[in-house]
Amino acid sequence: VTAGGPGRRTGEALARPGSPPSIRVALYGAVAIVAALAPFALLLPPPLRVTVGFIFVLFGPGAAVTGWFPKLKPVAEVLIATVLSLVITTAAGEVMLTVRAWSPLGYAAVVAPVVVIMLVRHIISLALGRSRFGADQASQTQ
Amino acid sequence: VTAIPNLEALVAIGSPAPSKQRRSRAALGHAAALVAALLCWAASLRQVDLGRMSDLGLISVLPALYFVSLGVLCVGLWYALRAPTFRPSVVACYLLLLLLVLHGTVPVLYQEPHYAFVYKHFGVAAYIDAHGSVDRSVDIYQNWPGFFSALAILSHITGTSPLTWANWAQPFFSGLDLLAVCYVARGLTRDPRRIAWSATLFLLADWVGQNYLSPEAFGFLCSLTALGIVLNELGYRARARRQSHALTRFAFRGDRLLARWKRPARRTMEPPVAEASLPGWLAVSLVLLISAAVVVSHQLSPFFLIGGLTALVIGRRCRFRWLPVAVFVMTVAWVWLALPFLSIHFVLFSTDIGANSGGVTQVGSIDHQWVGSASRALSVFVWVFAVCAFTSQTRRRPREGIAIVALLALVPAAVILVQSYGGEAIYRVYLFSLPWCCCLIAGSLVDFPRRRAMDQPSAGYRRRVRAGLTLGLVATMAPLLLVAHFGYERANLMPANEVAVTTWFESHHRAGSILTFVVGNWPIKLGPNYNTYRGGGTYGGPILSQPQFQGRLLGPTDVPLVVEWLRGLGAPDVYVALGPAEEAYAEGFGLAPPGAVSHFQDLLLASPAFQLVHRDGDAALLELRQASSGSH
Repeated sequence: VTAGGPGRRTGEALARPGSPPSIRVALYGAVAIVAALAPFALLLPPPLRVTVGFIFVLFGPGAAVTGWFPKLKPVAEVLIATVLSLVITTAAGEVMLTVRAWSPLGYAAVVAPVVVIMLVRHIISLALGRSRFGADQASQTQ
Repeated sequence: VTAIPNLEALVAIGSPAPSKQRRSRAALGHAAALVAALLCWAASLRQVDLGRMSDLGLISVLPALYFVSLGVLCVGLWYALRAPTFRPSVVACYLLLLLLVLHGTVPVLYQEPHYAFVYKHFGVAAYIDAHGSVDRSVDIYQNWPGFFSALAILSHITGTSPLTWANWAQPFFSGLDLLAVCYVARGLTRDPRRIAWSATLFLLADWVGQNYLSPEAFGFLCSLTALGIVLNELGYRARARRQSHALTRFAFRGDRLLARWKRPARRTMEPPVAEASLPGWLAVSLVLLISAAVVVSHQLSPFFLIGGLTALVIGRRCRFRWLPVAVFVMTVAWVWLALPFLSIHFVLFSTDIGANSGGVTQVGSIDHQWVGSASRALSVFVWVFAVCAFTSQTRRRPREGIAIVALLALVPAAVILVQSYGGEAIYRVYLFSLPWCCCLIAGSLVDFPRRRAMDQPSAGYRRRVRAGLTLGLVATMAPLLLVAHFGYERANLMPANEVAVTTWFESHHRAGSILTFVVGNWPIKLGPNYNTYRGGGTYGGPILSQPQFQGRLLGPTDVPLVVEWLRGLGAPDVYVALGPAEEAYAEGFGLAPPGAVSHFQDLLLASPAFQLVHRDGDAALLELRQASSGSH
């Protein structure tokens, strides 16, 4: 496994920035809507509650964080977003256990607004065609 | 370096490029193959009768259509991987469908989660959700509650029990593992064909089955992701030793300033293989956060992670040399907190390497011996192939990266120097070395056989040899994987009525009761009050694990002995659960002759010393009568 093998040219194609903005906007929008519903999970009908719960816990926090890094490749973005979501949930659970303040819905109530705000900010950035680190790096190359 | 594209351009001019029509024909062929495989798989599942399963597991009841589907996918994937024009999307579709066929079959077919031991995880999550705290004296799970707390949060927010969706954790974790393998491979090579081969080999060699809803699956995924972040983000950026200030070095803006205003820094790392996507401080923070989650979730995974990080530091692929030390300190601190429980119930270090690397040795039926042989053959096949791949690649120039991949593949083996992990350490070693072995093999497959001189094998000859080798590889691994992966399913299948019996018991028992079994292959401890009764091995194990009842056919004369032993346990109430999964496990693993367990269960059921308190289909729950009220 070495750099610069026969796949060099095709490898350069992989070095493009992450997934297309339209897909990202759609995904962020979907996760933001789900995250907005998460604190009200108890009020939702069962099938919707299950869907909202899974999408929020498995993808919400991670998507909000990885949204800051548009240079991540799609594979890395999906992987890191999901793993980060699980890790943030684990960390939150561990903190709640340690301070003896167990409240899963409290977790949703605290994290969901942050996730929604961050995702909306990413959507606006993408819609305006710029993003923080992407813009930074673009200016760096000029 | 600049000559390479020119050379490729010349080659491209000399060889006929695939026409647009040919390309669309190939795309149509792939689409047809994918749809056909999906339909075959879906149709095959309707013909499965789980009741007819033999000791060869699921493969004994899967219809021919299933194998057709798998065959189409394997051949199609192989063809897509060797096509002159590499299409990542086509390969991704094949991998996704192969993942579904391999890991989605059980969730579709089974009513309840398979593996008896997964049910304890539901109990811990339910306990955490009900009590809002953990009790470190209860069991080892409550000393590493990280993953279970996340499970409890998920369960609470969705309003469902993990029982209803636990089987889907397997395709979920397998899919993420596949992405993680692609991610780490991306940190080693820019060749998408090699990355795709690494993922394919991983999918075809991962027979261990550690991707169920468990802290192990979470630990493996997080460890691999953390190592991927280090490989992709922290291993190659130039470092200015003298010029940089500590603050600016750890800040993204500082990195930019360095790049803009300082002179080009001296490279101290391996040559770059990819462009950084994250600022250094953020990548390090992510690795530390992920490592912390692994440390609080699983006992063994942090040590594999520390080994991997150390290997990356040694191989100059991680510029933050304190990273493994930081994870080690976190791990030691957490083990220190759990030490009171560990020192009483477990042996912390076992230096008997032979025993540590032996695995779980059970003789069992002929079919089970075949399954065991298949899993061993697949492991040896992968390891031997990886060694051959390493040897062949060390002769190449440039060869940077090979040594570090080999080191990463070797490091997990260090665990067997100090721990047997209940006989399972060797399986963990295989699992944690597998991604790196796959990267090694993939690295040598793509340009095998190597062209040494202009007059040596022609391109056509090399292509044919490579095609034969890769097809042989897939054709060998896929059947072995099927046998190894599905072979123990007769014992792993948990009937719904046995789960119902345990649920009933957990809502009716008195605190301090004992729930025992003939064999012990039973779904227990799935509710929030699982700590209020003793089950599993906490009272000395099930009936067949007692020395006085082993190695012989149990008959009517053994019932009084069993009753005497149960009364000697000193519990206020003793229950015995009876069901078909016990029989399947005992037969498969050679604990009793065929029919012996069900015969003995009938004897217990007929004994006046026991009272039938609950029945659900084939499963029954007996309560031992008090000594004064019952007779033998």
